[in-house]
Amino acid sequence: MSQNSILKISGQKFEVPKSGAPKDEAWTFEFRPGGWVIASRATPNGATSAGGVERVRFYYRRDRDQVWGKIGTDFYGQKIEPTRGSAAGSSGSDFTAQFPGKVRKILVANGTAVEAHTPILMVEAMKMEFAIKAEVAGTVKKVLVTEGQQLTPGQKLVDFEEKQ
Amino acid sequence: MAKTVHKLMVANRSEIACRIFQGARELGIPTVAIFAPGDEGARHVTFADEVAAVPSYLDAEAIVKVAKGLNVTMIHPGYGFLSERPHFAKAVEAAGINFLGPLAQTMEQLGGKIAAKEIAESLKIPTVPWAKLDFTKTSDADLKKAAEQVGYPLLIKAHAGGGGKGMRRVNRFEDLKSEAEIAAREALNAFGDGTLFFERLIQSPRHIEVQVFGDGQGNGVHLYERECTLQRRHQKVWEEAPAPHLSDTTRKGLFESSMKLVAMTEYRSAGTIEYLVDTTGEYFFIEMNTRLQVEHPVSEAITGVDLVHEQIKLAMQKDQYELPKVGTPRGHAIEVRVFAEDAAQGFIPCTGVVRELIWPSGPGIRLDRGIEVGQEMGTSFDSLCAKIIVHAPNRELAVKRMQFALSETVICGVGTNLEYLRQIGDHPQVIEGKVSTHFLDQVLGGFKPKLDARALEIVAAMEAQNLATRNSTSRNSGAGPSGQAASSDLWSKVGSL
Repeated sequence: MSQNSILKISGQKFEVPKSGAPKDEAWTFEFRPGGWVIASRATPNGATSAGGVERVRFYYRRDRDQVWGKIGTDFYGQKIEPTRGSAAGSSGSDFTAQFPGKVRKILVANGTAVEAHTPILMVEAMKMEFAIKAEVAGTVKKVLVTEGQQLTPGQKLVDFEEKQ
Repeated sequence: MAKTVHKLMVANRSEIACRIFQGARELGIPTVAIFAPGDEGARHVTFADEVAAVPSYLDAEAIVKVAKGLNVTMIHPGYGFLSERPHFAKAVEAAGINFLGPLAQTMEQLGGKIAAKEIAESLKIPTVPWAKLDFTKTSDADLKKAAEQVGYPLLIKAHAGGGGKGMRRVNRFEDLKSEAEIAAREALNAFGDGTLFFERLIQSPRHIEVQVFGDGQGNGVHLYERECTLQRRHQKVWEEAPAPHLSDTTRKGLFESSMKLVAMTEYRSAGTIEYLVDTTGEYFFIEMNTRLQVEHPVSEAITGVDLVHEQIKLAMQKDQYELPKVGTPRGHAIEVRVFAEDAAQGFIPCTGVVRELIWPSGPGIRLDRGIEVGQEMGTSFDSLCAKIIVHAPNRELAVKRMQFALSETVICGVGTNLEYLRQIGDHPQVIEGKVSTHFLDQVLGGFKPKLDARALEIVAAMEAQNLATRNSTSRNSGAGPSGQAASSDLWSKVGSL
């Protein structure tokens, strides 16, 4: 049970170190005209960078739970806050439609236990087919859509229980 | 003779429309943009002198009607949509408007898979060895002979095919008939036509194409070759000019073959002839694209020729038109396509309102873009946001320049493939220029963004200090908590656009 928040980036989960830890205070941020942010901190012992200061130019921005960033790598996804009484990130396998489309095929029957990355249903959008996969191992309690059904963004597709 | 007052319409949208409008404006020609329902907010709409609504970018009749009503004298079709539809080209010219592309009959001539192969063969342009065969009526002995002439491994394809349906790989004769039966059944179910042909499977091929420009009278020039080997399921992602590691013999052959096709078809305007090149340097004609292509800027970079200017000048000057003098290629150019799609999750389209854009600039960087801050990216239209093109004295520097350009680019508000492009640009095989068309699907098939500990630490510290939702307008080093409150109002205003 961790209370750390989670960044969910393209189906992968990254734990954001707990806020308020002393090391957060070590970073200072400078907002530059144009959108970049400069983070700097005194380098830990043994580091060799000039002046003993580590500087990183990056971009990070959040709009409610949506995040976009460029910190060495480019990423975008959601920031998920821990919910009381549940394991961190258990809200991860949410199976919501991200874009308008149509259900092509349901591949797994209700009540089936599946491994991580198992395709659960096929969705068609923009003349292409996409597999909606389980991100983690668990049980498909109920598929909430039918084949041929039109999807609207945000619509819940599957009732899924993550394996404990 | 009265001097014609020209006016150019682009029957297209987004980045390519913007790019063509630039060309027209530079030549002093008034412009007309069109937009389909749902695309009112697109960037190209603001680029033209006049704007007209059409029911769809595919509605040839409506587009021609609007063009006539506005006294348009030339229509540029861009790429995709109606660009390679003979009926559109015909309708445009029937209305007395110049079509900035080839004649409808040229498109028809080169349109069919088998027809194009036959034209190429008549000109002694190498094609992928192939045979048209009715598997049910041919004797085993004839089948075996034909297959041996084509060579193994071979690929069974459906004449009416597309999307991999009816396509089967065969390594030996023993499997040919059984695979053919499956392929014929698939093709019959999918297309109502079980006609098959087979051709040699070129292993580890490169995709190399030649940019040509013809005056419509049998004369033409080529603007050297482009390498577009880095493709994901036939979608080009990273394109270069010239192609690295290509022998002079192969290059010479490619140009000679291409110019034969231009002369024979009396090709008019810009076109591209696509080839596969195998590991030995042998090349095979695939098809001719009768339009200005997405990746045309890399050819413009190395030759200094502005293809859109040439297309416009040809339409204006007709018989007086002189083909551009193309000198030796200068340096090396690379283009990447920035898409609003999630590369780690099956390349699903990403949607959202663009919140912020930071573009690269500096020596040798060109940006052709179709998006603006505040614009909504939906799923109704193509997800191409922008093309980043770099030009440098040599390939090594061009790759470094692309790495630099990607590191300077931020798109916020909608997910993009920027990280995917970044990882492509960092891959040793790409840096070396030694890839095949299978590279992206095989090597980067399991692409995942990587976030290191430091990135997560910075995210945590930004969140802990309440800085992550700050708006760009209050971005200065001194802004305190009060600045943030003001910024969140602005944020919601931007968000409601």
